Amino acid sequence: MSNKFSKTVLLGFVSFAISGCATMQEPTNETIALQNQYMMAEQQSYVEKYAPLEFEDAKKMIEKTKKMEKSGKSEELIEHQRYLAQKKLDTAIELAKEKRAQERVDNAALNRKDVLLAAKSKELNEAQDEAQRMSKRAKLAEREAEEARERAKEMSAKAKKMAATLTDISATDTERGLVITMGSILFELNESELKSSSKNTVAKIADFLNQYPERDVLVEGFTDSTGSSDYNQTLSDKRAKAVTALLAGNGIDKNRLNAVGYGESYPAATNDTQLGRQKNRRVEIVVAHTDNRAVQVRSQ
Amino acid sequence: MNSQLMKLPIGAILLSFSIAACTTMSQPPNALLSDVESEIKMAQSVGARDAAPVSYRSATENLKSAKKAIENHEFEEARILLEKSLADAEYAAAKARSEQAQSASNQVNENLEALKKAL
Repeated sequence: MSNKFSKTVLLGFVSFAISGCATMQEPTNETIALQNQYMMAEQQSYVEKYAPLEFEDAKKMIEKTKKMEKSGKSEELIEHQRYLAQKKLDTAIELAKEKRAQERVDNAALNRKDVLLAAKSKELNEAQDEAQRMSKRAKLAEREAEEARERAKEMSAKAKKMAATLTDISATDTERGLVITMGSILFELNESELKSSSKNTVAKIADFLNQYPERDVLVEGFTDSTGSSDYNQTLSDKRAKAVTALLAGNGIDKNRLNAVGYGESYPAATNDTQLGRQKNRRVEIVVAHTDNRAVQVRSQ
Repeated sequence: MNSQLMKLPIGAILLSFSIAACTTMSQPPNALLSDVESEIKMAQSVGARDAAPVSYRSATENLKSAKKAIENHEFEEARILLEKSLADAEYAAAKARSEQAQSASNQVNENLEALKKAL
């Protein structure tokens, strides 16, 4: 038994003696540097993550280099082994960088999709919000228009009611506004001063207008064709202004009031008969359909 | 007792290994040679000549030297040169691929950033 043991020891010595072409050594500086590179790569965990097999190979080859140095292999063999180990480590690092970059490219494709999706949904939300705002605005405008129509209808109904209670007054809806016509308005002859019966009528109209304080009013004067047109123009101006002044005197804000005379233009009836001429001598009060909008003057 | 018995074959193996290491090869390393040649071709095809010029040249020069050594029947010398050449060629190819992938990754990232800004 002790015989066998001594045989083993002897064999061990023989093998050492043969392999030990050089003396025993500690790891060389070059190997220590390589070992450090390996450890640095190990700390940057991506190498182990993306190139595990190659990294493991590099580790084994560094270990082998160290073993060869310990067992005193020839300088040439050690250097060769160290060279291969160094290249293996470098290759593992590059491989890991490649895989990591590829993964980033793949992730970027996903990110791109996410970004586009997010942008699309944002756009969609904005469009929806805009549509809602538009529809609200449209509804509001419609309601306002509806209210305006209601008020215009109401105003026209009231005007007609008022007209029915007064002689020689009529109310008509036209495109320019509600027209209150004072037919056969009674002025002193060739004067712009109204007779007292007509003054009462104007006062009634003023009461009506005061119910619509935001509506502009245009007072239009007309004459028949008797007399020169210059004279008629002046007379129609004066009469329109007289009615305007009377309305103002009855509490209508002057800012709402405008006066215009058209002379013998725009006759309402024929000037050939007495009845026709009487119809043409008139004053029309045009009330705007909508708030704060001036009444258009007739083109002359 | 058992462990002592086991030491005999281990010692023998160590001895035979040591002897093998000191003997020279009698056969040309043909398999290794063809591995190296195809690896260098591959490295060249992925652009290793530009990405890792030093390693690529080292690989090709060591291959040349290895072929000469084979002609001179210095097979052990040839094997060592081929191993070096293979290691360099592998590294050069990996370096080329890695650079391409990284540049692609950077490009994609730039595009992504531009897209984010544009939206």
